[in-house]
Amino acid sequence: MFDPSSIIVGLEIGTSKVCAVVGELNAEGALNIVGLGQARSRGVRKGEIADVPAADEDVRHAIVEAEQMADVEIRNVYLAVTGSHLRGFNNRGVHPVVSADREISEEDLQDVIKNAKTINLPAQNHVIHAIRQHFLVDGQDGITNPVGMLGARVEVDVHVVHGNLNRLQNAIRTVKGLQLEVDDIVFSGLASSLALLSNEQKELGSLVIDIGGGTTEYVVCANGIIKHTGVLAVGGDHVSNDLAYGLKVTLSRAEQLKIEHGSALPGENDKGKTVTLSSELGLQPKQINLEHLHRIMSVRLEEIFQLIGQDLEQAEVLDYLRAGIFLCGGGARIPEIAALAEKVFGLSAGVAKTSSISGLKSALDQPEFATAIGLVKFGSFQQRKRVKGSLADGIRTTLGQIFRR
Amino acid sequence: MVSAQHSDKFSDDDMNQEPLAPSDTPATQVLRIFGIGSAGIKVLEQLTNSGIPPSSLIAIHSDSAALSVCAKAEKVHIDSKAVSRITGKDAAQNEGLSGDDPLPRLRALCAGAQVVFVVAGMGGLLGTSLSSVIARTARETGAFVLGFIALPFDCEGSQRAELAYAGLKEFRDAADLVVCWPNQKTLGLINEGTSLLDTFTVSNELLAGCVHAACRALGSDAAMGLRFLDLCRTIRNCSSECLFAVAEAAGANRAIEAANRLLAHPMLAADGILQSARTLAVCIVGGPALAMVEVNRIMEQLQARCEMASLSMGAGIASELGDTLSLAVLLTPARVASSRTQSGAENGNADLAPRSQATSSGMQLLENDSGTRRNSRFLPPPPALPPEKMEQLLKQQARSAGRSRKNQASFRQTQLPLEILSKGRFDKSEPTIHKGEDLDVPTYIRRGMALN
Repeated sequence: MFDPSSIIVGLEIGTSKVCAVVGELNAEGALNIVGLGQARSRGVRKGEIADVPAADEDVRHAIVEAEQMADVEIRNVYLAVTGSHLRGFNNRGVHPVVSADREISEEDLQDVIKNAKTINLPAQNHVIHAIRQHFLVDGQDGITNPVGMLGARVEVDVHVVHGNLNRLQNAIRTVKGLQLEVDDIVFSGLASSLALLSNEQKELGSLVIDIGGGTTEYVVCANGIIKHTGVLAVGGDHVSNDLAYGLKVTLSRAEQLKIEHGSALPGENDKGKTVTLSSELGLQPKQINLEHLHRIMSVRLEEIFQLIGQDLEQAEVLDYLRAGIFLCGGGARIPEIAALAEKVFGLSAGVAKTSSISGLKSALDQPEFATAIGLVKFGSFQQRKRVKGSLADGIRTTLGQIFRR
Repeated sequence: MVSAQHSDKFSDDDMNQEPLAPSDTPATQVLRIFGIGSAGIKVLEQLTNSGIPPSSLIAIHSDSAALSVCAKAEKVHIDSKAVSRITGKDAAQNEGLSGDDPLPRLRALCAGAQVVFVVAGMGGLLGTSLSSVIARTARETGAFVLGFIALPFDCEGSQRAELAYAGLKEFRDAADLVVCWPNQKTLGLINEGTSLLDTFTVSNELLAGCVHAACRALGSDAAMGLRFLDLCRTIRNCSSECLFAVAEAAGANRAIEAANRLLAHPMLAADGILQSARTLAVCIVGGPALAMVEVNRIMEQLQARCEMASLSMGAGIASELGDTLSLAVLLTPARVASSRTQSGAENGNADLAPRSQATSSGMQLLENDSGTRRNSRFLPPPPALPPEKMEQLLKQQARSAGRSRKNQASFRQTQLPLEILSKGRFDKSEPTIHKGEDLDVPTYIRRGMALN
């Protein structure tokens, strides 16, 4: 039915769900979401596979569902990776301009980018992304293309995301075990930000926080480039776990309470209110104090935001966030979460919706599908590049270009 | 890896000039190295190249062409008839049969030597049969006989292997100490493309390296611990078979490097060889600059790896070594020690004599020659006791057994196993630690929030 090369699949093996999104690239190069498959994830803890057979089965279910919905056969996927082992940092490359007239040439740019990508990492670490940022010419910052400018010294920053090779390979092996090829791995926070942010938001400066089941990823984009990325191995599971401890209920009950009665901010008239838990087999119906429920959730979510805030402050990127905070992931569904983020960061915050992609409304509107949709978008950039016939030197440059658009 | 081609000059000059004059000072011990058969001669050839004085080398072969390879060494040609004659029956009984009896010559060559090394490959005609004759002759003249015996590759067939192990058994009874050198171990050092000849060269080089190191250790001035010969004797007290590994290193980090090379030596590379060793004798030889710290470091490394073994060591100074540090280890793997005590041990004795329990006609020929050799070094037979003494001992045993039962019955406070509390959903995952705080613990608990 479809030309196989025009089908792009994003696969996210998350802590709470496995999600596969099928996108189709039409003749004009526009992306259309045509299929979605998801399965409850049982083999993943904190974003990393802990039980391989269970994860295998869940991925298979999600892929089969997506195949049926889109009526395609999935062979290749773009895979999202996350986990506490992922780290992001900025690296700078320097190159002296040697030509007699001091004019910066294309070769100088290639050299300086090559220098910036030379990163000294332990052998077990693998660079997932090295995303180009701005150039500096003789210390002058914020130059997007210095070719033709005069200068003695050209520098460039790259943002590097790297992680432990073995832990990254766990997810890749699971997918390959199902006879699927992995086109690329993408940091899931980056994929979410790709799906959510418009060019203007990237330019103005925005923080994307993807609150997943086991991890929370955050990405800062400003001036059209990726400024900072991070992962916190705390997510919605921790909220449920806290509730199970604090309210003395089972984990599944806590999960249910979180979804049905949860709130990120304690309400003013919570005091004295209770929720009745329908009786479990042979047990008395249980009264749950709503105030406690909200307070337990609130302190945990507040802490997550505070930890992110501290990290951003350390990285000195807090002042760039003029467009505000964009929340996604399953955690973004918690009522009042945007209000809590506003309170913690002192910036406008909202639950983001996927922009600039057409297709299934049911998929695009959900904050938890942002990563998988972002993966498809990432894949579409890669694909277009191949179609154009430009000699791609991999994902890193692509990302640089994406964020320069 | 283990360099055998070290160009130092072994042995003092007096040893070469007056080889037959025994001396009591250990540094001038007179040494003879017999290379028997093709394997032995090849090792001798290597040794000549590495600076061992040719006057102490004696090559023995039934083929004069093979002997001519070893130009500098003393050559003894024994034709195959003579071999079968002196090995077929007891050597002493056929003196009158032939005019060219080689035994007197061998005895003359051994005379005056305090230490005799016998280097031979087992499995062939010459090495298998002649090496024990020479060992016996050398022992009769009062020398300490240390054998370096190469054993055939597994692929050389069971017959040759059986012959080799039968020869080894006989040699073990004739010599003081046998260093077993299973050629099979060198397979780990070669690659797909290594030729057959090169494989044997590798094995011979390694063996020559061991002999050279032993020569050097013998010739060094003792500075600490036991001398090399005493180390050999401590090993012999446990077993007459042992493994030998050597390593050399030079430079600033030589102690660590030498120890690492030693651990990677093909003889020690097999899993658990070092860990299960019963006895371990370490001989460290260095130049005058050999530092205490280095000796200490090496011993620490080795000790950490063989906690079970009874360890003895010796450090010697050989000025010709210069910057190089030479490390030699003699060890008895546990399985050898136990196999000597229980003849029907399981077939686990892979390193030294894995097939010695194999039932075969070749073996049975040699099974019944025990008893000619010195007393077993293991579990001497219980002394004959008069019946009343035996009764007394049995009573004592019964009493002590009764006491121990009583002790066992008495109450002892045991420690409860530490129960690790489940972390619920995050049980199997890596803890999330942020600035010393475990984020898996509920925030409200960490912040001390009261829920009432």
